Amino acid sequence: MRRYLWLAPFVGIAGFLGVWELFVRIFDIESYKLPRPSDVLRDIVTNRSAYWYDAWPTIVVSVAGFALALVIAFAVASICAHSSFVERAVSAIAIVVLVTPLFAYGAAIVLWVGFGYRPIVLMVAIVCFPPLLFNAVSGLRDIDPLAHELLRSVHASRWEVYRRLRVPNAIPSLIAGAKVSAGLSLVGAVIGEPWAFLDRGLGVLIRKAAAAGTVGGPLLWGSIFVLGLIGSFAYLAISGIERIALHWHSASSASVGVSSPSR
Amino acid sequence: MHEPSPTTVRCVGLGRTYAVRRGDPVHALDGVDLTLEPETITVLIGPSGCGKSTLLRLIGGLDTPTSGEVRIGDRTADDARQAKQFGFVPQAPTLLSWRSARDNVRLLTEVNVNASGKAASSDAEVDAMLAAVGLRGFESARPSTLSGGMAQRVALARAFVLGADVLLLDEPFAALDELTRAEMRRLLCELWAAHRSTVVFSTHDLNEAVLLADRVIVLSGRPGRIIADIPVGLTRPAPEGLEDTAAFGEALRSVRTALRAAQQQTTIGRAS
Repeated sequence: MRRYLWLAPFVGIAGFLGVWELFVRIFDIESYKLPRPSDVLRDIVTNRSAYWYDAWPTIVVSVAGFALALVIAFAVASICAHSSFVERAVSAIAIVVLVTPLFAYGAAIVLWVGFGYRPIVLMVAIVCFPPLLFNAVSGLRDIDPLAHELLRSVHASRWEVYRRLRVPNAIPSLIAGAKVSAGLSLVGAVIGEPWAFLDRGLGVLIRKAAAAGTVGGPLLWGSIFVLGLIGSFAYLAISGIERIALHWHSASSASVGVSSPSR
Repeated sequence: MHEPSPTTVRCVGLGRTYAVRRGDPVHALDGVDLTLEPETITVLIGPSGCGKSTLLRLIGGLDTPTSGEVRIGDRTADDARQAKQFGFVPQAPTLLSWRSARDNVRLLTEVNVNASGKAASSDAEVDAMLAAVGLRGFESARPSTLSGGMAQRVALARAFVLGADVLLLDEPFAALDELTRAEMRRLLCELWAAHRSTVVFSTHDLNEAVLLADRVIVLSGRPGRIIADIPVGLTRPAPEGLEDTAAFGEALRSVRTALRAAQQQTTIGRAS
């Protein structure tokens, strides 16, 4: 059975769509209320260049915002790992950002940064920031105290401890944060796009479809499916990086089960 | 690998007090006077909480004494640490999981290269050291694939490859089974014979203390003080049947008596 484990996610999704399809057919639900997944998929294949036209800018702003957040979060986390005071101060900001709905301050950011793609990239970066920061901080801060002491015993500088101990130690948790943020980046883009009065993007497309009422159904569901597809690809890509990184990292069993130093 | 210059470790009136948030400060160590001759193995033994680790950390310049001072030759402990005169073996192997055995052994030689004037070890030096601890063929192995004993061998290699003058071992074999410990003791004696560094070794195992030591220092807790200083100096590594000899029994008995007294004193100290 283990050999077929990789098939499980595909079976799960195919099963979900199959049940949905049957449900719509058996109860004969009108397509503007809930379309058949087969019709949605057909629409996507038929109009693939039209969907791609809107998907591309959404992908670009998501990736750009995510990358921006990653760089800033790692830099800020590196300072936090060396100062509890800075860590608490920055965490407070990150938590406020986390609990304030993006939808609420989207318009404010557009007013500040101006129309176009820049405010969207900024919005994506803002929603991606907290999970990346929290995970990077814990990875950079929670190093093995004995390993730290070992490096201090030969007078290693802070930079040497950072480079040889903190950064490698932070890789697994940083990837865990990236998985969460990759999903959030699409949320940021889709919510942000209509605020900036763009004419392209999946967020814009969803807004148009919703405004079209009963005739917008296929377009609405098509956009949702495309977003799900993009998000899944992002998740798979990060999982791939994770597999490579964790193979390289390889969890240590040698230091497990030993008591902490006594004084 | 260059030969370490023999070095004397001197502790004068050494004390360390920890402030506690609520309640009286803890006197982890109080008035310790101790001179360790070069090229000897000194074992620190005592009940848990007697300040063995504190004393080791003070000698190694990892902690600052509240009173008194540590001298390594004519240097302060901190200067000696800067000059990479210390090799440290902690309780757990503490290998970095993302580095191979070879890169773990090399780790400490890679840092603080400029100020110490000691260059990072070459592959050949590291591999020779791994061979010396019986790990030929495991150079590229990841720590997760090594057994506890093998991991501790890597930790020993990591300390000895530094060519340090003073080796500080903090209950290094505490997590290993008895057979592996005996093997590790033999290995430590071999490495010591080849490098002749000044070794300070803490343990709570009587046998281990007597088998390794030129001299056993018995500490009592609260506050940590030296209550006995017992010269031993049996043949190292222990030949077959050494544990049945009168000399061994004699040494074991005197250390045990002192340790009992230390235990009693520590309990009283805690109760008051």
